[in-house]
Amino acid sequence: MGEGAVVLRFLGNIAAVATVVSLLGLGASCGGTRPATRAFPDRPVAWLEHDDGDVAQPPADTGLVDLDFSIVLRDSLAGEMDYYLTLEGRRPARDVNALDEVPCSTWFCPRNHLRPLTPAEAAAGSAGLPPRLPLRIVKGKVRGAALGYEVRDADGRKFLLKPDVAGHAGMASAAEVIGDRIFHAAGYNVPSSFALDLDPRTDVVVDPSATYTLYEVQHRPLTAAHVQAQLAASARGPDGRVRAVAVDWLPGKIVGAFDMIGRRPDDPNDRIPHEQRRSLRASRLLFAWLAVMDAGALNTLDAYVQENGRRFVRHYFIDFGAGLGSSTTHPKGPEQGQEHLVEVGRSLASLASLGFYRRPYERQRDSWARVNAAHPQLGWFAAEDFNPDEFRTGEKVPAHRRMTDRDAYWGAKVVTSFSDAQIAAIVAEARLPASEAAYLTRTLGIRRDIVGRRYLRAVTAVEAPRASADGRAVCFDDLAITRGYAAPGEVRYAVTVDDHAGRVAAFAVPATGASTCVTLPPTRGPYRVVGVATEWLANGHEPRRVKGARIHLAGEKVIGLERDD
Amino acid sequence: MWLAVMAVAYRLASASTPTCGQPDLPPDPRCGDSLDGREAPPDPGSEAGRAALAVPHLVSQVVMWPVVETSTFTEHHKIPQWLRAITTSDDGLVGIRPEFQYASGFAPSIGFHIFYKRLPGASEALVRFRTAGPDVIFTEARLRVPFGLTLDGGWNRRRDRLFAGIGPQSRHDSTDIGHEIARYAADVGYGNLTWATPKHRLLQAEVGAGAEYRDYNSSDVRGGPSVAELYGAPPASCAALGLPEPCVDPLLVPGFDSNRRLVRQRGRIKLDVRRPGRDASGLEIALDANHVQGVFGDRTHHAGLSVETILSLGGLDRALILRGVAAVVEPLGSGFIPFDDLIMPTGASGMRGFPLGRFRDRSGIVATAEWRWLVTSSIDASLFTDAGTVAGSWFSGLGWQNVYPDFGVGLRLFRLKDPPYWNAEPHYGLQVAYAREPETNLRVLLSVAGF
Repeated sequence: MGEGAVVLRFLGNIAAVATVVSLLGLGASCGGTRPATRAFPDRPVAWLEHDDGDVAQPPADTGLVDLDFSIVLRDSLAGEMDYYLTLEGRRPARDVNALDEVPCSTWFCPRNHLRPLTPAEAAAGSAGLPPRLPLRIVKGKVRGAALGYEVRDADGRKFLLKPDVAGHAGMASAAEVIGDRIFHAAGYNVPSSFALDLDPRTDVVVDPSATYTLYEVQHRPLTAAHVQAQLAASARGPDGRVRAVAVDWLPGKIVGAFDMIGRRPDDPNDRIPHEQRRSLRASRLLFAWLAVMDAGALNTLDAYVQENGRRFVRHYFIDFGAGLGSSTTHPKGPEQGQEHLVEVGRSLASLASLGFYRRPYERQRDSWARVNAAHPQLGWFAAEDFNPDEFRTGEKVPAHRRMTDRDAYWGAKVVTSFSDAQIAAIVAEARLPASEAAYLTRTLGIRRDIVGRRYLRAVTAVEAPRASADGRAVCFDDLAITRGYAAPGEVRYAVTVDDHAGRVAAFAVPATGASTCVTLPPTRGPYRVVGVATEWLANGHEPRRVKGARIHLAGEKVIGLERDD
Repeated sequence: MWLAVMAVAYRLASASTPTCGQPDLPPDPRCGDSLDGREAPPDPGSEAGRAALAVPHLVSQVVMWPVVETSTFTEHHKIPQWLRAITTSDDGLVGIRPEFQYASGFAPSIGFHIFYKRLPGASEALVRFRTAGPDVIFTEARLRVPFGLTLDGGWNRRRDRLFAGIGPQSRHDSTDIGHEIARYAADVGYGNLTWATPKHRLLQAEVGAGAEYRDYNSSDVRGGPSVAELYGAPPASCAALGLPEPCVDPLLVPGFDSNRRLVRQRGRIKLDVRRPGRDASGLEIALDANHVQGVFGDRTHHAGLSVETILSLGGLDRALILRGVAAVVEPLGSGFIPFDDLIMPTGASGMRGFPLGRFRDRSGIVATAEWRWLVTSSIDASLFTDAGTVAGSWFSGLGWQNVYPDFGVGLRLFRLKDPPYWNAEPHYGLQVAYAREPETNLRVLLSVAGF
């Protein structure tokens, strides 16, 4: 036997042993006993993350905006191998307070789902004024698929101007305007954006020193003739005006995109690995709702800003132009938003099954053709065919990939917090023809409800837990019922009551409406944990129990709410 | 002044240093607290499992690290963008792109093509060049002008062209009669003018005429023994023919002893009722006819006819493609058919498991069954089998015992420009085909162009 064969055999043995041991290890980790209850301290709930401490020097540019293929390689191949080979498992999010909510931070500050905005507030978006015409083009847009320009308005404020592509007036610009407003109302940091109809002869001028970057590397003068030729190939309204969107330039110093995994090493405020942030994990559901197919690190930016005398990094989502029916330069294809650029598992399944494995989008050709025929201006943005579980961004986003059921529940809570009136007000900002606006409003409403039915019914939707004044009862809201995705008659709760010495009682109570109160038996100490698990009742079937929630009480005070992962 | 400095310092310090450890304050991550105020949950993974997977994890990192880092370096320095900028005009209408082509049994060639689209109308010029050194040179120039006219010409040299006798003999039988796979060299130059109806019409027609020359050589070949060595004539015969030794037997390799000077005319008519798209169903029937006449003393004079039928049974992102080709070539008058104008049903567009030139004769057939299916929206896979053979004049002697099968798999990569994906055109292709033949049984066919 040669040395090579010996080495191969040795490696083979190691691999076999490793596999057996790892399976044992996995078995131990999966089949282990339920972890002991972790008690909450009796102190105020954290509603601020305190990640806006003063940072004297701006962090270095991450350089992520230059990367495209490398991020796909890193996250879809190397990252996936790491994920499986380190047995990372389902780690709970760390930007979560004692009420299972995401406190205010430089990443996210809860808005609509905790304090509903008026439709006008939701439609207003982030603080920013529309540009005052005319716009002076100072530079061509460097990156991205779409045509665009850096412009200054009559007041000298800077915007990114992105015309729609010919034949699709409102397609990408509506996606941008609606995406910005919905993400802002949800609580994320986004730039302001405004739909514009421009007369290319009078509303747009080209600065004599304007340049554009050819192939992203070569600087060339940007002439008026060049711009007019480009605008001539852009979308026009019936009055001949160019439909475009102006996106407010972010404040402060731009320090690159933020990564969807890891932390910035040079930002002391950045203490939680990004993939462990619920606000990023659950953003998947908002992106799915809006069909933003290119969500990921490339469409984020960090800005080193100064607010209230402190300098720190604020984190932004940008560029929603590939949302709704748009893939920026074309209407979306059925696969866009439903397929990662690299997905090893599904590709191998297709390959090995000789094509008998089918991807969900393969069955959506009729829908694609029907919607495109009915709304050629808007592209393919389907309602009834939407399945949020099948949503896929182009890049595999490490934070999305780590979304747990708890995170998804929270994301659905945010998505379903938008009322029909808010959606209609937001869509109106896109200045689409009435029929197209009505279609978008209806479609967004249906997709929102699909998200709600999928994720609010998958776990016990306990919200706003409160104890009675004497501490003998605890009441809670059921978000699935509150938001209209369940009827009280189909819900029953399996309730358990524990104290420091163990289980005190276990019983079932029916849902009495959007709110239900449970009378608690006497316990042996002030710290009590009330477990609530929804059981779905269906005629002729055993009740189906879903993941539960536990309300932690210190005397008559609710000090914590935790959910099963 | 000092008070102001101290106030600022205090403000900065108080901004960045929280008060920690007080139970009546909310949790603060600056104190090391989790935001829900509790100790960290247990690690969901298994330490034993992680230890067991340490080796494969290390291996994966060792493999992937250089890949990711190289890609990151390339993108950080915008190398693809610079390459595009350097190789493309500002208006994008003129540029140069690399090309690579490989088929098992032949030298791989690498090169480039230059495109020029600044011509009036929809005119376009294209120049191709690939080489593997002085033994393999491929050049081609094509000018496409309005009204369906195309003018093309080129010159290529290969010193590894393959000859394995005439007729349908298996390798085993060929070896028994001393007909091994041999190589020869030829320089070929040509020019053609073609007129074609637009594509994507139900009925398409194409007519063309051109001229061609071929100069053969048996003394300086690559990739195997020379035809002069395996198909050589005895020295006396060479002398009788007035050829220098070693010479190729003109009975075994007809026409090798003299170079070709040809003019040709060809016509093609195609009925295509297939819908466009990767999985389209339908039928395509094409009839090709050509006439070749030697000039400047060349006695070549023959005509050929071929029929190709493609039946595509498309499903949703899947298609079963059945293809049949039959071709004949017949001498005209007192003319003859040189060995490399005989029907050759092998190679990338025929029996893919056999190298081009493995079989040749006066007629030939190929049948193909191919199952194609979607792997991703930009990749499809195929499983195929080809079967075919050659026969004598008008398929005389055609027999099942001489039909040779091959089997293979393929991947095609599509460049998705405009949705929907099922109308995209393939951009790169890789096929691996297997045929039960000694030495050359497993063949890889790879074609790569552009970036």
